[in-house]
Amino acid sequence: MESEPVLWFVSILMVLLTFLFVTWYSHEERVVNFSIYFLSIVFEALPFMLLGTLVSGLIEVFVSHERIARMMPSRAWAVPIAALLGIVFPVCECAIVPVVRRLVRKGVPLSCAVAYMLAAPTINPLVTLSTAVAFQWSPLYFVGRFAAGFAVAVAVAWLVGLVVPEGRGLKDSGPAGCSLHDHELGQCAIHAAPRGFVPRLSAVLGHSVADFFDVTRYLILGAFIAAFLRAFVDWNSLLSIHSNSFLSPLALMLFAFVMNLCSEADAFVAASFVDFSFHAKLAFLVLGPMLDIKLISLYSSVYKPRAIAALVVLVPVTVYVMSLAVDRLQALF
Amino acid sequence: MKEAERKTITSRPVLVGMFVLAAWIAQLTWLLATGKYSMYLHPRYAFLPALSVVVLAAMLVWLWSARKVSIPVDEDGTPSADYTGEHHRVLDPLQRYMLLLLPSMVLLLMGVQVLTGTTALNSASSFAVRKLASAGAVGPEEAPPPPPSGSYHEITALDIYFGKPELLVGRKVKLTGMMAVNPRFPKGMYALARMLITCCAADARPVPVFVKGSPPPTVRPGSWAWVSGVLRLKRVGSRRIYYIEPDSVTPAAPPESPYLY
Repeated sequence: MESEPVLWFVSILMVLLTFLFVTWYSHEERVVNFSIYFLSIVFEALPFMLLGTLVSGLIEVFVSHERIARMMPSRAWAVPIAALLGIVFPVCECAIVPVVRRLVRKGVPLSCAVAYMLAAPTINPLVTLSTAVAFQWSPLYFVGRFAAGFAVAVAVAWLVGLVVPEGRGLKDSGPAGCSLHDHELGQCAIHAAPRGFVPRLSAVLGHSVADFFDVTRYLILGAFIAAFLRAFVDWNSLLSIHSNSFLSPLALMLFAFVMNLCSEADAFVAASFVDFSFHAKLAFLVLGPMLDIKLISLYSSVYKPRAIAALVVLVPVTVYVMSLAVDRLQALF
Repeated sequence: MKEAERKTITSRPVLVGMFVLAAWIAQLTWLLATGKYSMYLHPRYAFLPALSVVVLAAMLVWLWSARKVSIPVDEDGTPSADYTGEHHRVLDPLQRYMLLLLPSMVLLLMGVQVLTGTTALNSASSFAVRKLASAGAVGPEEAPPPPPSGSYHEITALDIYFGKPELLVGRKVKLTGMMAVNPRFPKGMYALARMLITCCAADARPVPVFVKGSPPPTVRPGSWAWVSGVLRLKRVGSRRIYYIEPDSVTPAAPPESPYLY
């Protein structure tokens, strides 16, 4: 993998820094908070990550390239349908990354993978339900989040498809698309089309193990940076920018980016922003599950830097434009 | 062409992987067994680390079953020159998986601690203040039974935010929290705040209950205290502010369960 030396260097550096950091300053308030934020993000995301790796293993063993190709709808409808598939997989953004990683290795086009990846954590039924509960069943919020999340996911997916040529946005994953062939686990007995329930189940688990080791590193890296920024920078001053209709969505988008909240919990935090208008809160609710610090790190396990750069630019810009459009619409009606 | 000799060895990367998974299982099991997972996650999500332990254990078993591998070797038993695998190496996989050991390392070195944060308490509570000021819809529910004469009814910020605080007005109450001072607080008041967790500690936000007067010099901002007094209601325009008129404020240790859920 091309980024392996960088990741190794970063790993060693982080472990050493953490050791020195927590040994010398273990009672400093911000260091304590850093450790709690870091472990909370990791412990909360871990079960969803494991679920994602299991689903990824199931796809690898039970869904062939040919079946994926047959399932893909015609080009015009592929992106919106891929986004709507997010409804049937009710998990948050951490679980979706291993699944998307496997799907793209099975031949799903980049734009469809992006549409599914961005939409699933925003429009799935659990997120819609938690948003409804957090905002006392106000349809403005849960319907608004669903519609805006879907629209942004489709728009960004189309734009990514335009700016990143097919085949140049995804990381190379080896000839067979099976990470067990790479490096450490050597020969991959489980990839040779196992027959029977138990061998297949074992193969699913084998692929899940490989995915777990590959992807969780990125989660930990992202959680580390996010926790550091949360603990050492006071972002709460952003919450004072609530009266300007142009700046308030930007403030909450930046807040969502550094908070790294789970999409099933972020609505409860958004509900406490009582001074902010609807369009700003909507920007917070739509951006958070699509782009934050730990997600950028996780995305780098799937995409090449060019595609990640496209996502980092296009997602916030599209969310911001959507938020301002909603504000104008509200003013009209 | 002569076929290379092969030798069955225990894959060292697999052993490293097993060590990593064992570390994860150990830390999660310990957090679950001691109940300390609630310092990171909402208690209603205890099934999440429990499920993680089950899946990680299944992965550990799979790795155990895959630990023996056959590699090509030269006559002297060393891996043959054209063998590019890593099964005989330990440093490379250790470097690759090192990041996965970081959570265990942080937990081991830092221990389980309580989220505090003078800065967070003092600044983040500004948005909570507005919510608090509009909390407490008047309903027909009955007030809780009065405590025995002279004793205090123990409350939390949740009773003010999500309960019927108007039914407690005039009652003797006591509550614990971390001392918070903020110029945005109503004039002449400070607050005792606790962190409210919805999902995990990363979404924790402070919820303050106001106390009339100045904080006593014995309680530093950010440290824990008990306040006993009478709950009062003050109306400022259309807003209602509930606060405690204190009889006493004493420094305290953090409660066993410091967060509100």
